[in-house]
Amino acid sequence: MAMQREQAARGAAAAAAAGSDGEEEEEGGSEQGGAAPAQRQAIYNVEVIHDKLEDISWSEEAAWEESLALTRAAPTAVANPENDLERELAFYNQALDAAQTAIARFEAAGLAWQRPADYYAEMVKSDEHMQKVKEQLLYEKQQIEASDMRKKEREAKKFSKQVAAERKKERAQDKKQAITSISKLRKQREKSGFAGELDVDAELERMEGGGRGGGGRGGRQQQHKPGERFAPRDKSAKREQRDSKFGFGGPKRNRKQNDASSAADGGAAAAEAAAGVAAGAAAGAVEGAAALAVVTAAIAAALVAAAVADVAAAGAAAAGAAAMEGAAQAVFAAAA
Amino acid sequence: MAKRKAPPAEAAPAPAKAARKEAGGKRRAPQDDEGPSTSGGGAVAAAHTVSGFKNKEKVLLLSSRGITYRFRHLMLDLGQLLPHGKKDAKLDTKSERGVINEVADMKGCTSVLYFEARKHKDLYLWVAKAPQGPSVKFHVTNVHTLEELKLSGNHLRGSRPVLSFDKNFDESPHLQLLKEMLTQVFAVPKRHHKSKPFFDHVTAFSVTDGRIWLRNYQVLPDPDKKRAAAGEGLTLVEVGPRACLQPIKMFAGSFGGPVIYENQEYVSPNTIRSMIKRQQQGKYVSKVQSRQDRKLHVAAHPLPRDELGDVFK
Repeated sequence: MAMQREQAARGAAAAAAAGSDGEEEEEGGSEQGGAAPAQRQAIYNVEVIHDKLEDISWSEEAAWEESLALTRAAPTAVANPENDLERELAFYNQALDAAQTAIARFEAAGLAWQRPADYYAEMVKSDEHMQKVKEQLLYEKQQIEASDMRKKEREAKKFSKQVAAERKKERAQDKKQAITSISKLRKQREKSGFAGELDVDAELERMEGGGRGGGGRGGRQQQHKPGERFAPRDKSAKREQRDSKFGFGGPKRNRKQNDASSAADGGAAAAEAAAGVAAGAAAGAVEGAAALAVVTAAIAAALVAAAVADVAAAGAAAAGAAAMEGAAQAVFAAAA
Repeated sequence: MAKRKAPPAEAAPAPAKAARKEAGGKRRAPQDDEGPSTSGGGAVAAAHTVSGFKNKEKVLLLSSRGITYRFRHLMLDLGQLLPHGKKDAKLDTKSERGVINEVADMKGCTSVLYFEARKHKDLYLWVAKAPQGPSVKFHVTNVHTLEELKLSGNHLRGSRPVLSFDKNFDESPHLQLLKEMLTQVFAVPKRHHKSKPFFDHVTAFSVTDGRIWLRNYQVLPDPDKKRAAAGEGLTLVEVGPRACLQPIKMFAGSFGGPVIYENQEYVSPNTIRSMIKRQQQGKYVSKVQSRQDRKLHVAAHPLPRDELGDVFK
């Protein structure tokens, strides 16, 4: 029954094509065969088309200025008409080509074609409409900028800790360098017996060879950004440790780890943080290297002992492993 | 009005027709073409006689009853593009289109743009040369009006456009005829009292995928006068409106007469809609069918008796 219906539909479609719109039809075509009604050839009467064209045509014989119609030399080829961008680009190029040709012809004929800046006349779209268009464009631009800013901030948050650590190191180095340079200067002057006037900045610059411009600053004074009321002071190691443990609500021990941004970069941030910690440990743990080796050996020994123990006591071994992990973390923290 | 050619120019068409027949139906040889991108106007003018012809076309714009907002706006937008156009009241009947010729005669119009809306869904555009000329029926899709905020260009109302035609228009006879008709409709007469003097916009017609695409662009020349004169730094911004026209049939007479061209690839929107419905229908029918088939199959192939079937009661 389904087959019958399909056949009926096909027949109906053919009949519709054959007798559409109820217009009169003449079979006076030049491409006409004795085809069955369902597969009739479409009418294409070239003779009559040419006759009609001749009857009405004036644009080819009249001056170009009457019609301003241009035909492009090359056909507008669109490989895939479904691809909107490609298609519109092809149309744009065709129109651009025509515009350039027209301008060349206007210039050759000496006609004024450019609208002067003070020529005010009614436009196709009203000023209110153009205002709406402008607002829409600005709004879209704003949206794009806002989303870019959001993305950048998200990226920056991941690196802010690293950046903060680096800045702290840099500040410590500066301070150390300043102290040593001042003490060197003092020793020099002692040797030369405090002769002449003391111009600290010039002396320091001479010593460093003009390398660092901030030699004048010394001690605990730091440069702070304009707008900050208080200069950031160096914190002692003890202060920093306390801060990390209790400051601003303490460490984020049991906070949610899996949110939209972490899911989006699929563990990249976590891998980086681990690498950062490991790097920090490696960089600053020269003194603790020996201790580290001892602890590692201890862990290995404990693991071996655990492996020897009974399978049923896996829980105890797991607890032991957790305890060892905690010890290792403490070592890392001390070394950093 | 461009009904008859001026007598001095009558000698020209006869040899031209013979030449066309010789060339196997093509309009003219490629080197005679009007708008080559490279050469200037001098060589072209020598190729054909330049009569003192003046464009005095007038276009009648009207719609049928049952037109919806988008199509009505398209009609009004085209009316804005054509200062030589005259709007008329809605046509009551969809079957007696010959009345339009009388309306055009009364208004003194040589061309007609008739927007026929069917079922409040489909738009058909008739482009006709009023008293005796040929007429074309298009199916209009992808309509974007001047109101679209994404089409951000603007131009003088009534300025004369440069019409840009695709080379494909010269490739087939029916497209040649279409090109001529579209030129006569869209070209603004030079000395029309509502026309504005400067060159502002380009109206482009392209043939792709068996359809004619209509685009209207504003021309923004380079702010620097010298570069603008050379044609460099030229940008186009789309003004609208936009439409995609698929020719359905061409008739020898205006709104009637023998069919001279039929588009084989055209499928009417009604047919498409009915095919979609049939597909949807087919789902239910095939479901019922498969249920029945299953019943028959189960009846025809009973399961063999299982020896261990009643071990566990």
